[in-house]
Amino acid sequence: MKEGVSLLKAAQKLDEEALTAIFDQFAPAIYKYTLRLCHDPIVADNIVGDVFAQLLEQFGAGKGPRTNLRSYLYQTAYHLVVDRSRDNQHTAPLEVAVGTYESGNFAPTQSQIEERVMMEALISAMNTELTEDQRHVIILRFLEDFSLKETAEIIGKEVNNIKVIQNRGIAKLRKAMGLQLEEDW
Amino acid sequence: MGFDAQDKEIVRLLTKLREADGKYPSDLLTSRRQSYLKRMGEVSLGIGAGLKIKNALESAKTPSFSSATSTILESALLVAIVAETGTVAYFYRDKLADLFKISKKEANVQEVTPSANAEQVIQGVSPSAALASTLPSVTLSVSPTTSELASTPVPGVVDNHANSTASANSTPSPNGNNGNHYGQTPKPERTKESKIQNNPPPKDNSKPTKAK
Repeated sequence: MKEGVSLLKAAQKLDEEALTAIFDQFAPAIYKYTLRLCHDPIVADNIVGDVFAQLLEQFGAGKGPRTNLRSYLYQTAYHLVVDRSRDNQHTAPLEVAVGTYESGNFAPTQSQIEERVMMEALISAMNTELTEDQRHVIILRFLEDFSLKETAEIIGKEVNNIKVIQNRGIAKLRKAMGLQLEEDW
Repeated sequence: MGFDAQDKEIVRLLTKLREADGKYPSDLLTSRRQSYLKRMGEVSLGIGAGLKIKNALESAKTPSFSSATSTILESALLVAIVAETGTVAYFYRDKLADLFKISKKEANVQEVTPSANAEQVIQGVSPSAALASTLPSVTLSVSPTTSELASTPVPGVVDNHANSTASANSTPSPNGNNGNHYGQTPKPERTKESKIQNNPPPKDNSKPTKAK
């Protein structure tokens, strides 16, 4: 399989093998990211289709990403999610994104139960306490493992602004989780 | 990046959440992949078709006909255009004639139909001889439908239809006095010479003396 820049160059020439490799490599990740944002598997699937359709159109027009394909795909997905969320607000919980986390046939230990409670509190806080920007930044930084610079590129803000949003988001999560855990215990 | 202990715990939980897998359902992934491959084929085909069209256009630019053939084709095209224009003009000749008539009528819309009051006003005005020479001559065209107006001559109006030219006769000035006009008023004659201008009065610089 071609890697990195060579894959991108081949895709720009509409090489079918390269384009297929790009889909296979990035489609599951984009789906996961989109699902975390919009909480709806069908919508997430549609957004994945739109992201790759736009990529093909861009390559067909001789445009498209030149360097960072991953950032480009996430950026496209981010904009599509934002556009859709403006049209209709989804309030479904984030649990759909962590379905396998709950699955398990073995009996959980005490620490696992505690961890699970913490995770549920975290997911709840992410859904309810964070602003849209804060949620995007937290997901891109800690769940998708993008750097500050890449996150800034995807969201279209300055790096310093991203830092501020991230710190405020974490502070909000900490506060909300502290309150929730106090209530639970 | 530096986080404090509590923030680190949050970050740890967030990274743990990363491992939690929201897998792409296999049926959705398969159908999405198929539609992507189909789309990819369309785009490739579109690019191929675009290239073919581009090549065809480029080849069309190169001269493949001789100059004689192109001249014949040009003249044939010209003849065809002329013939078509003539045919269209023949079929729509009535409409074209109407159109020309309308445009001609629009050009003749400078009709004056003065009312009875206007006639009186015009007859009442009698410009002086000096003024009449400076005023431009007014020529009004009167429509033939106003037969009444044609019989009564209006001063200063040239009746084209009756082929008679009536020159405007100004009324004679009464007693030769044409009134005061700028530049025409006679200068008043001086009755006595003024000596004051030649010998201005001496200045009285002497202080007033007190009467003892």
